[in-house]
Amino acid sequence: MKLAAMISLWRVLVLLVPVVLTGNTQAHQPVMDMAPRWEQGYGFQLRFETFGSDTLLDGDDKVDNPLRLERYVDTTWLEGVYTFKPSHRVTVKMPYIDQRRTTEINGEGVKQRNSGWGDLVIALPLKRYWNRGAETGNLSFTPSLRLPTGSSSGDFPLTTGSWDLGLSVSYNRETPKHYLLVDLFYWINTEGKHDMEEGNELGLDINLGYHPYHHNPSNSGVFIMWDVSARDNGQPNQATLTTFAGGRRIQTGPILVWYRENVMLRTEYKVPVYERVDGLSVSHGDEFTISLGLTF
Amino acid sequence: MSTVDKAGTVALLLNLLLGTIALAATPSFPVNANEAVFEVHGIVCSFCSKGVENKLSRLPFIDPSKYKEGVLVEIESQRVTVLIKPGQALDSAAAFKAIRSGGYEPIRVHIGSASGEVRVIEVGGDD
Repeated sequence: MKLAAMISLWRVLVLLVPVVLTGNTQAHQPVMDMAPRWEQGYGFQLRFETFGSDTLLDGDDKVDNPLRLERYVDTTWLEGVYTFKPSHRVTVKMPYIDQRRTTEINGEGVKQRNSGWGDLVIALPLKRYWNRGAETGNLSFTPSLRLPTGSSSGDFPLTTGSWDLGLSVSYNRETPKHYLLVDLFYWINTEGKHDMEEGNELGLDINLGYHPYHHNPSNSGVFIMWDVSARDNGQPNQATLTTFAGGRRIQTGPILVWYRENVMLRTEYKVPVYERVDGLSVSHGDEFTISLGLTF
Repeated sequence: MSTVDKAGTVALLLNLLLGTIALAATPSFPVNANEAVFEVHGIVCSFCSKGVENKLSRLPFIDPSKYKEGVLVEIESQRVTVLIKPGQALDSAAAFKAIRSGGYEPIRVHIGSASGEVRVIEVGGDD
């Protein structure tokens, strides 16, 4: 009897809060924040990002997952940047999303999958640089606009089809050996198609870097960094199918950067060290990113 | 003050001035003939300084036969060395403008010569 009651409660919980994960809405441009900082410079970046998990959370407690609910998202970003002058840039980012999940429908775990182009993000980083001896740095203010270019149809849509506004403030300081980036951003997510509306997102990224090796004649070297990312996602409305619950998380992990001339390769691996979801939800999981950037 | 005193004061000032120039003209690093070494504030990131390399290398008096298209950026010392074409002179104003356009702040340039003499031009001086 007691077991049956627990199973019933479990089913109610699962029905109320299906699988959840917030999308990646990073406001700053990891590679293209560094370059091109010269007039009439431009660059391209191909960035692959994957995250997901089958760990079910109730608040911040890990709970049993008998239906094996899960969600995994692979996103390939095509990114471009143009620098009018060091203080004015424009960036565009277009994601191709491949997402799959197991969600609960009528007490059964049902697999769903969707893929396609997501929402185009256009940003205007405005920077104020300073150069003092063996130090350079900048303060940035970046307004961003996310256009509803992705599909919002189906049971597992890629986007909500909304016009969203992002604002970012960042501080960067570099010496020949050390690197620091602090980026605080906020995304205002409006109502999209089919009445869907994700909650707003507040984020903080901190990158601490060390530059152990550089070779002047070949203009090549490596950076080792450590990233700490915090996210606070507001609760989406009932109509939203892209994500079903908000939450808070802190992720951290290493970053390795290799560069030579105008080519930069960057890899990141982040694990959640704190995560709390609003209800019952799958964890964001580990996140791996690899990107290749070229500047001209 | 007598005319002799005035002349002495002027001479002293000139000596001090010349002394300053002479100190500035003796950098702590070597400057080869047909090369110029720029001191550039903030140039500590090589991936970010690619623009300085690009813009300097496009100047008509830069000789691309050495370094990367005639330009070497040294981030540890914040110096940029360029090779100048034989028989041509460095246009310091154009070079300072190219460095600024690349996103950094030039301070001065040390220009080497075959005689071993090093001439220094400060930003805002006679560039």
